[in-house]
Amino acid sequence: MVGGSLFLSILVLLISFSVLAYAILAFAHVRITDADMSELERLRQEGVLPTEARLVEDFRLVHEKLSEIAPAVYLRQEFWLQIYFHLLRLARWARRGTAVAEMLDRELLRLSAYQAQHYRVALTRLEALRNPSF
Amino acid sequence: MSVSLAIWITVCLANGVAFLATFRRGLDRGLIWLRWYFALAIFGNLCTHFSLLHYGYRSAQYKYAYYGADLAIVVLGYFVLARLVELAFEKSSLKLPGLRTGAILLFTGLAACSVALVYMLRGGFATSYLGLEMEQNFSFLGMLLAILLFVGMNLMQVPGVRFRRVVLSFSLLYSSGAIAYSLAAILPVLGVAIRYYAVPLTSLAGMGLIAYSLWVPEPERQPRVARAAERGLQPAQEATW
Repeated sequence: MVGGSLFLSILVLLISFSVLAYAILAFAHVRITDADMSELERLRQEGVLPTEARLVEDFRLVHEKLSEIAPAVYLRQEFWLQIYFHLLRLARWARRGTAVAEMLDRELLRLSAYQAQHYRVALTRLEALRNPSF
Repeated sequence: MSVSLAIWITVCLANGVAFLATFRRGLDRGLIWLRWYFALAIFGNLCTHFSLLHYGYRSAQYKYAYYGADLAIVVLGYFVLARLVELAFEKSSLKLPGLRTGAILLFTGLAACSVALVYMLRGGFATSYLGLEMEQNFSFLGMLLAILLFVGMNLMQVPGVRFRRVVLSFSLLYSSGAIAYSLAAILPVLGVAIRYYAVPLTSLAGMGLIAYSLWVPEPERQPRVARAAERGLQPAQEATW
């Protein structure tokens, strides 16, 4: 028992549960947090995405383009990304005009960058299929 | 085969896989420290199991082995975390002077407090009370350290999925450990079941996640210099973090 106090032990228990929940969610989410943001810029420079950044449209465009080539290169789009995308949009709409909306915008941008990374992988694989190096 | 033996074998296997994973090529320099951690975990598990077989569940030797091994793993994990903090911020602008001294002082202070509390409350140093108190306190401290490290890495934008996952696995390991020990303290009637089943399962979850984090290849990322060159910038002009 923490310091012989039941209250402290319960407090430790509650904090530990919160941290455990956070750690589990963050473990799943860490790939998005670490997304390479420069990938979106690269796609803009290559003309795949329009020069003007648009959060929702960029994600959709990359998703569509990825859908076209993903099956050919044995890449499976993660289904939860779509759900998370719609959830973020809903939250953004509900909290528009607040500081939280900015945070959600950043998250949407990271999500697009993560999707763009997948698209890059698909493009690389497609290139390897077209020009195999033996 | 009993359930506890099955859990023990699974935990040992997870530890073995994680230990082997530390020999993978291209692992971050700091993560090689985990090799010692897993070697100790395997050794501790073997000691506990053989003391159980030789001396029995109610023997003092089993208690020493059980609490001693668990505590040694928790404490070494705490120092591995301190080392990960150092390495995570090594290349960032954040300087952490006296980190090692601070970690040692924190560790010593917490150990001394735990010992003093057990002596005041119980009038002696019974192995199980001392072991439970120290494990609960160190699990709680490790959990806070791991989560603070993760938040710090996010704020400083330190790259590396694998590194973050390892830190989060430690957080998960320690938080689930703190939950188990807190439950054992609040509901002593569940003590045996928690020690038999819950603690090995928390260990299995944590070690399994660390093993997974080490095995899964890190997503390829363009080097900063190459990214900067592509945009026609000098590396120094690139966005700082």
